[in-house]
Amino acid sequence: MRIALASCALVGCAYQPGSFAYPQQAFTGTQVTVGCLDLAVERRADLSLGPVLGYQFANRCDRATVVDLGAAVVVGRNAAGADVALRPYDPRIELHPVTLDGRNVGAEALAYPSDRAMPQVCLDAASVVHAAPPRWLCFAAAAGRVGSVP
Amino acid sequence: MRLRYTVAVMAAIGGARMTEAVACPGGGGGGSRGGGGGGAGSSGGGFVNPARSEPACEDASDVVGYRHCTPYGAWGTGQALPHIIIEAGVIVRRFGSLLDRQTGSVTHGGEAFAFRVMQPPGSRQVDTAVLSTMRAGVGLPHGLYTALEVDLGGLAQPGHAATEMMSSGVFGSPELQQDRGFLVDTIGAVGVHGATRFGGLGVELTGGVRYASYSFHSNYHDCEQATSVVALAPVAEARARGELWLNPWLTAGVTVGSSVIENHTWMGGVYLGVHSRTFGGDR
Repeated sequence: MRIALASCALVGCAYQPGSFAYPQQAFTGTQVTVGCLDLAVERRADLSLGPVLGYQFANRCDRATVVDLGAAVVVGRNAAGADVALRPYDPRIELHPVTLDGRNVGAEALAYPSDRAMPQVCLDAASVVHAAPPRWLCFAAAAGRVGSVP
Repeated sequence: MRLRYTVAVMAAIGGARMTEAVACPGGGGGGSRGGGGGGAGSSGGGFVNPARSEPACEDASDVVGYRHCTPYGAWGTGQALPHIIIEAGVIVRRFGSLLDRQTGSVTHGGEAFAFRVMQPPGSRQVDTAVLSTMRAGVGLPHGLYTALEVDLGGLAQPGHAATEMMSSGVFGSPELQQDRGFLVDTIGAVGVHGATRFGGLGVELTGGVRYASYSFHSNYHDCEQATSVVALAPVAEARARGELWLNPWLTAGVTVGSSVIENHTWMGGVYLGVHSRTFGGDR
């Protein structure tokens, strides 16, 4: 990251607001803008643990902004139609609000443990930056796809 | 560029010393405060660390909790760290010559000669130097900043000085001719700046030490020798700086300043600056 920053300082590869494009980072999935954040979210193949959301984001502002993926509101809807609040898998207690500098980018992938399959997972994108009103993005599971992690 | 210039300067100095040794073994010289000349060679060695063959850390998954190589939030830019600025540029300085009333020495073979340097009374001699500058700064709260700066370069136009030999040898006294020299300024700065959408303006006070080496050529009985007179002086300046953002992490700026302890002494320069925070964290 620091090497990339140093390189960008010299050649000027700052993120362009609204572009959802940056070298070596694919903003795949559903795109939304919340506050200073251009956010792309995709639902990946579920792990045995539960569904996985991939986040790619960029700060469209010139000033720093806080990205709090641990506080993002995620709701799973099970086969019975019941909504279940999902919390991210964080065995090492790593998740914390992180400041993203202006015109910079980042990416993370979070798993959401659940005891049963979640055909649909919804995310309040606004909650990532502690904003209101909610911006719900919903994702269906890819049928028959279950990823594995060694 | 700066490195190349530094190498060139060092090569020039070293080259002169080597020439001395060939032309006049045992020769050399030096000036006041700098001590006697005659470079001493040294040989050094180095420890070569054997290349490591540890494999790079690779994760099978990028999912938090499953990956081990990269911690969560590595894309964060460490707001706990201060705003760091690295600058490089070129400056021109005009300052009162430090040569007046200095003394030096030069050695031709086994004969050593002392001399003193005088500048015309009633006229102030001024040196002009062109320097490469490297500066590292840290942003502080409330628009304050502090920086450490090193300027290194050549005396493009040293103030005129006459020399007077204070001793003579078997064949009389050497003839000395003034040459150029080099300059090193080591400076600390404290300042305050204000930001605009396109750049910033700042004022600062600087203080430090100037090391000047004035070169002379000595001719004595078909023997040519180089020597130098070294002088130290305090530096204290008030400066104004203005800069524009070229991109979110890169600025181009100009700086002008004037000494606060010496009349008619000024400097001016241009620089490029790399910032650890986007737009310096000012927006």
